[in-house]
Amino acid sequence: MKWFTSIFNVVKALNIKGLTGLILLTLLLLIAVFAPLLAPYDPRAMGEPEDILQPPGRDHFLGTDEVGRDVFSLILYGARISLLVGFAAAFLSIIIGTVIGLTAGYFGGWVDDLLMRLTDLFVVIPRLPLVLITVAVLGPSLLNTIVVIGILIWAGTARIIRVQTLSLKERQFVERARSLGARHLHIVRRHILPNVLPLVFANTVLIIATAIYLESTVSFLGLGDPTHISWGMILHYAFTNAAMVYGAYWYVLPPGVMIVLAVLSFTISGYALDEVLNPKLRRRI
Amino acid sequence: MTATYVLLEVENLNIEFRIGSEYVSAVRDLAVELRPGETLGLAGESGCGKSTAALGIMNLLPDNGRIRSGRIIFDGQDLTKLSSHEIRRVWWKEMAIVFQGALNSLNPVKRVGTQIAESLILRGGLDKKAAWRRVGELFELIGIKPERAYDYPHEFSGGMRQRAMIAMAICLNPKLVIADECTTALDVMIQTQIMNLLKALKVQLQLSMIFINHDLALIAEICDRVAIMYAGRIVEIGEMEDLFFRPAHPYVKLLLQSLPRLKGPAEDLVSIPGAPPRLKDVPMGCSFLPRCPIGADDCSRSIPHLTEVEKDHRAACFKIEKTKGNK
Amino acid sequence: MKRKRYYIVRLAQSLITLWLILTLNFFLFRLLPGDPIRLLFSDPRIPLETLEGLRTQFGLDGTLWQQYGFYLLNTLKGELGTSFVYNTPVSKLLAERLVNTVILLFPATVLSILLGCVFGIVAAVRYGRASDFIALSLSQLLWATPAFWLGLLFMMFAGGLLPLSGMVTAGLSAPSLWERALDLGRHLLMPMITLTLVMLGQYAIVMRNSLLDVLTENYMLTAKAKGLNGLRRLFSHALPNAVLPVITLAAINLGLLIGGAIQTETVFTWPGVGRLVFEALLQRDYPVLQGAFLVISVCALLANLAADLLYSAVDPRVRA
Repeated sequence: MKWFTSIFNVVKALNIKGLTGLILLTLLLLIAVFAPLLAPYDPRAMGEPEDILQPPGRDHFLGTDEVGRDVFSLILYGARISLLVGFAAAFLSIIIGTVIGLTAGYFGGWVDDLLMRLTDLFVVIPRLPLVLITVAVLGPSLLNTIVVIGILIWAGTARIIRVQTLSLKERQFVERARSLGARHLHIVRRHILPNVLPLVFANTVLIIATAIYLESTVSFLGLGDPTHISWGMILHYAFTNAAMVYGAYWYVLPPGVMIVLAVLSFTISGYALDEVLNPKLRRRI
Repeated sequence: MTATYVLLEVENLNIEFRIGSEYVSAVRDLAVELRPGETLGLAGESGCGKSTAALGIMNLLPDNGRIRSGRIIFDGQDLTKLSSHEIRRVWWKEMAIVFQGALNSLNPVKRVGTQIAESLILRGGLDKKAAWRRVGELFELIGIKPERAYDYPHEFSGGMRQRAMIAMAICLNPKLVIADECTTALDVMIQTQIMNLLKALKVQLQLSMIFINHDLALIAEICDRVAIMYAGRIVEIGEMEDLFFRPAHPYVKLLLQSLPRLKGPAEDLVSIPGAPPRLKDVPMGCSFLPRCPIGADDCSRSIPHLTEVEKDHRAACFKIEKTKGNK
Repeated sequence: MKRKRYYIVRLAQSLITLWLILTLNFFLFRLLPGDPIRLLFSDPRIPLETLEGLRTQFGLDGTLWQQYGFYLLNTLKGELGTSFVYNTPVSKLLAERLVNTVILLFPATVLSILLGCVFGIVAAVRYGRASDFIALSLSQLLWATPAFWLGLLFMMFAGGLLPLSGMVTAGLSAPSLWERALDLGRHLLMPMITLTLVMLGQYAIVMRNSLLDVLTENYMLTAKAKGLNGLRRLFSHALPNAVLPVITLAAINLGLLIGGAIQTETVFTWPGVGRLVFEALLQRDYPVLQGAFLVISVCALLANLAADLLYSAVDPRVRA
């Protein structure tokens, strides 16, 4: 019950922009979950030759692609994979980033130096090429995409968590706990983690936005899982079939718009949540 | 014999801030006078409005603040009537302010000397060489080695930063210097250094100064006259000695009692119960009534105005006749 | 001098990171199943003896650690293997393509930083008003837009006016330098605009927030009290402080910039390193991938180092 009231308070504290982001985000989630109910056609169902690359019309709300599939259904189903990968990869990277950040911040010394060198590595190395190459090496599949993205974008989270841990470590209650003989794990779990979690949560939403963006790019460049549909995959097929040359705006516009909406809604929500949960931030966006 | 020429005359100054959609009054009916060569103290607890008054007198309020009414006659000109272009010409050259140096009042990416030389070059008409020479002189005046002028603010200690701010304020020889909480956040030894510097400068340069501080002991050290503020109003104003030895307002009496004495028999520390009202919740009538030991119901009916206690000593209290005889 | 010491420390850190990059590069490609020599030379026509000779040359006949050692040595010598697809040394390929990528990236980066900062400054100075909201929302929108999609849109709607692919028009008869430059410019326009738009959002947001923070600092009030006018306060006092996070961002962004380049070069068939990576991904041309990854990472590392050194030159507090 306490959970519910605290969530309610957070939502109430959001400004208009944050609220819009949150509503949009929820809508996208609903689309993803209820895609089978909302889609008029089976997205994989190919059409007759005369149905190829049809502009929006009575039969097909958003027209068809180069093999006659209904674009609208593709978009709805695409939400599932795009969001799934986003959430799963973000979740993975948050865990890794938080663990590394906590460890580096809490133990300090050579552990901190070592982990920070590692983190620096992943900040310096360009993300997209690394993700692309690793997926290419391991073979394109849904699992691989999730794991690779997750393993390669934790650096930002780790840094934020580490800074927060460092400042928390110096506070009185930690010293008191230690002088009472508490074990490290206990201190981290009881004292540091609860104060670090709000930061993690706000950061999570932003990471999800990044993961969605990465997945769409990886799929567009041809390394997505061919057995699944995502917004990036749709654009991949559009590109390789030169849909732009045919002026098939119904094929090219919607998937991109969905990606933009998804990334935008997560980003705006993330910033708004950050403002609410992070007391240090002044009202900015 | 003091001249009758008044350098600064503030009449009925009302300053308010916009918080959300409403305006909240921060300074009410402020009226002070300053003659050349005088040091006027502005004292009170945190939040009483003294710093706001200082910014207001300079017409340097932030975007959400404004002067609702009143006049600020400085050297014959009403500062409230000046355009932003005209007031900029008054700033620093005629009237300067020393902020708390401990905070980020100096630009961290510019050398300390540069920040002082900047004013000398742009407003003082000096060329670069002359300006830096003057910077060296100023540094000697404030007791810092001139070669430190090439350092950055973070390389200065808190006391040095404060002294640099003082040097920066006096560099154009302004007629009036406002010192806003110059000793706060500094340890006692550094505080003494700063006070000594201010006292020396006061004599050497014949500064007219408004000295703002919450520490009455420091006020007593350097000020000729003092005004005590409470909840945005001046509750007592007069010559230093008169106020110190014959305080009329109950609040001022309690403040003076709460100053611990180093000599004499050990006494319990006296503190004033309660806390000053928040800007939004100032009570009707006398704002000190909730904490006043001699307050009565009729004190809440209207706002007490400054009435004369003795020559050049006024207090805003309805019960003055009674207390005048005491002490 | 404090500055020199800082530079040396940063350089040493970069060398360690460089070593880590090389190591990561090495082990990454060991994840592939099969014969590592086939990784570098997959042509089935190569006779076995040549293959064995190559194997020795590349040190791939030893233990993992020996292989690692040889890899490091070869890389430092510039020996990066041969492309499956083009049958040319990877280093040569990369050198050619790198120039083209720089031609695209350089103006795009400069423009996006400049425009982004202008947007950010305008938004900060006009905080809370309509222009702030518009500038901010536009920046966020651009940041959320994938570069490849923006490129597709440009192709669809501007395809008639500007060339859609490539860097130069093939088969021009004896073109003058001016004609060649113009031709290059026409091809450059769309990909460059795409890249600029995608990148500028972030700079705008960071500059805006940074400047907003700076404007509320006490030293800005001091500057105002000193009678300095608005422009001087902005350019001489505020911006030198506000620009610091932007420099940091620029460094981080270089990592993302290459990602943007891959997308843009792919969509517009611009013959740079990005397009090369795309093609190599499609065709599983591993030597190229390994070499390209190395070059890209090293460039990002150098850019990061340069940005750090620039930052320390501008912010005196860092060197302390």
